[in-house]
Amino acid sequence: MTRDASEHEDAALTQQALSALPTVPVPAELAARILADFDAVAAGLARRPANRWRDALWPGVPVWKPATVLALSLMVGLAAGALLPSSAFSGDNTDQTQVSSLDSGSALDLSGDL
Amino acid sequence: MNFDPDADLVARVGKGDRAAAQVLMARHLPRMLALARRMLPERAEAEDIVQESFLKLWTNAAKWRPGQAKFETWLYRVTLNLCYDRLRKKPSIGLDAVANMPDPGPPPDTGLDHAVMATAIEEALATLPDRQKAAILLCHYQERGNVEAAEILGVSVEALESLLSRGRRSLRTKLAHLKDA
Repeated sequence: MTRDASEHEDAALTQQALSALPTVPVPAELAARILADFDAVAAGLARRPANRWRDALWPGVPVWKPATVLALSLMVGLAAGALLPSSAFSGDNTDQTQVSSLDSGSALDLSGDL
Repeated sequence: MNFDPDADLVARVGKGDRAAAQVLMARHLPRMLALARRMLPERAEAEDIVQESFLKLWTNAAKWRPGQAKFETWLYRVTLNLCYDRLRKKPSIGLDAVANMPDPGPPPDTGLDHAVMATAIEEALATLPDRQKAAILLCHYQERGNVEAAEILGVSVEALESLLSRGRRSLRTKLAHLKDA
């Protein structure tokens, strides 16, 4: 017998033998134990502070999504604070000072006429 | 990339979806238990291994990233690795199996009914080296393709074929008395 034919016969015999094995029944108690494990893990997930915070803000998404949105908002705020020119704010203050000076001047003139 | 029929269910399990967990369990539990039961000598051990495999699934589902590997391949690899660990810790054959060790002589004259034959096959399987046994079970008992079985075992297809070839030859020798009968 050639080697290929022998191997083919081995394979056929193995297939035939393993087909004769009975099926393995799944005990209902095992399925219940596995689902109880799932419930315990799921309850642990829900108790995590990050997940509670996520569920309050944006239910049903992974924690990283609301965390990313908040982090981006913070970065935009910080960038705006750091990069916008300070003259944009000081210009308003100057105008206010000039208006005050003019007001003060006219008040002095009036008292002079008296 | 190949479509993974479990990817959506695993993502839902990661978010705590119990219905998805039940579907995944119904889909894989019977075959996982059958594999573990044929790998290990005792029923209770096989059930413990399958429960532990599912526990790993429940705790890691949220970290699962589709596209890295087929989910089923990962799950069966976890199960097999747990079986190997259990066999390493207890290398001797369990008491259940010892009580039913095959008689080296010819089978009883009462004839070979189905149960006797099944027992003889189980005992012959139990004597194979672990990896040969796993290869035989994946390809001939669970009827998986060579590529999938090789992925589960973490070996090349050539290495799988070598394991299969040696395993089949050993089985044939050990079951020769059945054929003669």
